[in-house]
Amino acid sequence: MVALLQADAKLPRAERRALGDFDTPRIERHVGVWKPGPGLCFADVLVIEEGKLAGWPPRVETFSFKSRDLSRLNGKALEAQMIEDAREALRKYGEVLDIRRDSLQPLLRQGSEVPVSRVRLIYEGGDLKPTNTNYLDAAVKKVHEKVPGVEVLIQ
Amino acid sequence: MKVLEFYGLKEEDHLWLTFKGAFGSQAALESELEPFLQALEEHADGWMPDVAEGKRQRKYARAAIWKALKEGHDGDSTALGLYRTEWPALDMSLWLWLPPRHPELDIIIKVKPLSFFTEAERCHHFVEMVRAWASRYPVSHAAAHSADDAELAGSPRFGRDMQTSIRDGFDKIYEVCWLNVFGPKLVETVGRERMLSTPAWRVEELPNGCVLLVTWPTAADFASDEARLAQARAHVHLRPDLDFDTVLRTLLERSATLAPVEPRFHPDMAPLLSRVVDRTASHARQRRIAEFNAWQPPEPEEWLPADAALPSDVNDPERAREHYDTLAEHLVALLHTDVPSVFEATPESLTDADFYFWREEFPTSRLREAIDAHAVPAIGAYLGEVLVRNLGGKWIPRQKLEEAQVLVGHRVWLPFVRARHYMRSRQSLLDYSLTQLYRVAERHRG
Repeated sequence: MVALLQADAKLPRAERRALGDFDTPRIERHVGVWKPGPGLCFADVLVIEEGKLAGWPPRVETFSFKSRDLSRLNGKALEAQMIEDAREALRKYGEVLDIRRDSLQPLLRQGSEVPVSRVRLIYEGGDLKPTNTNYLDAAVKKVHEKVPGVEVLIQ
Repeated sequence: MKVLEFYGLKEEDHLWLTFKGAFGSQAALESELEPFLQALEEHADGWMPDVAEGKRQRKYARAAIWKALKEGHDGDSTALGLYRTEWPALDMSLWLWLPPRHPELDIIIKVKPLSFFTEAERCHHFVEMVRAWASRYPVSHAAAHSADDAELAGSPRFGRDMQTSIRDGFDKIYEVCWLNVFGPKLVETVGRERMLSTPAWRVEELPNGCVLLVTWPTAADFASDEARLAQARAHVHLRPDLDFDTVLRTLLERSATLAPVEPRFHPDMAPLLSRVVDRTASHARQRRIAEFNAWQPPEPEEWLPADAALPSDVNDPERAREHYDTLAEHLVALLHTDVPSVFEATPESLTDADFYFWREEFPTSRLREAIDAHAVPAIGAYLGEVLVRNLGGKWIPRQKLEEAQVLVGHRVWLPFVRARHYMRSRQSLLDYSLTQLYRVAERHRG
């Protein structure tokens, strides 16, 4: 998945699928981020705007990868699980984050706290995803309505 | 009171219903939902839920439902699960959007197996239930159909990406299901007169302007030629821009994809392939059986004639054998929770391990370095041990693991080489299965 993001970042902006909102995306893995409440957590991937002209604060998006067997959950349990995962992702990697990684501080100039534009919760696909797309999409739709700010994707 | 787990049973086709309807916010929730429950109780013919779940599970009763909805309350929504303790299996959910949002009820029903809906009378009841709901809770679109066929049809995205499909929903008649309720907007896009003149088993205008359309009397035989013909006629009538022959051909192709195929697997591989097939999603299962019927595993090449065996080049063969034993123990340590039979070290243990690695997509889901450094030696050693214990094999230790051999009859086998081939990809797990190497070694035991 990280490799896919890296490939996406290299494309011209108009052709990018995941990172089209960035001018010059910089992809970092396992980034320590701090928030009051959850404290120090590590975002699987954090993407930050590296372009000089993109303004302040730099755009930041985070990605959380989940390897969870969703294939055998009944309808109500599937929805409840995905909503819980999305809320956790938002709580840990969304809203306003204090980015702890030293090498990113030059991009943060006025302080390490930045708002997160979008959190993406990526579930592993294959045999772990629900086999029926109707049930999967019905659950994803509810997550998007219940937890705005988190986008759910299946790998 | 033990619920029959919908996904605990073998996955097979089932009847699927999706229904989203608006309800009023003025009256108490109980009175708003009363017609929903009444129609369910009157028409759920043989598949009536007997368990209601909010956070806890309770025996189905009005009081249990109100409690469950209270337990499931989460800001602007609440959810209720309805299940059965006996066959046929039911997975039903009622999700309610509550004020300040526009109140809406979102029902999903799954009843397994689909063959339960072979009788016209039972299907008629199902239609009457949906008719009662749609008359009371206006919908934009509702549908019931074979879940597998809906999946093959590309529902609910119909070629759109997930985000677009979620945003726009069923905004035109992409597909006609066995049972359909079209809301006023869809009726308008087709034209009310045209929609009401659709050739179908039942077309009825509901008092609130929705149109109920049922293509065929029974749900279970959706794949029959006659039912497909009815489905294609209705679809093309509602979508005059579509070509009848193309629509019908597509439907018949889907029927062919779902038609049962008799398994005729390679005998060595049958125990493993049967399990792979059982694990395959039901809409893809028959196609997979056909592929496996045509597939022959390559003959194992990880062996030498006994007289070409490499002689042992280690100083202390006993210590080398202990090392193989320790490596094999690593596999037991890795697998024993998921595959308890690894303790037995029998040919069946190998098949269980094959299935586990396949199910886990082990070669691609784990770090390659860890696979090469730890899994491959452990699997090779374990395979060698099973040959030793069950076929009277004898280790011929070598300094390099890849050269270590197990003598069985007139052949020496190279289990570590096999393990390396095996762990290359998910397909390699089948092409270079442990199961098959064992079976061939058994036949050449002499």
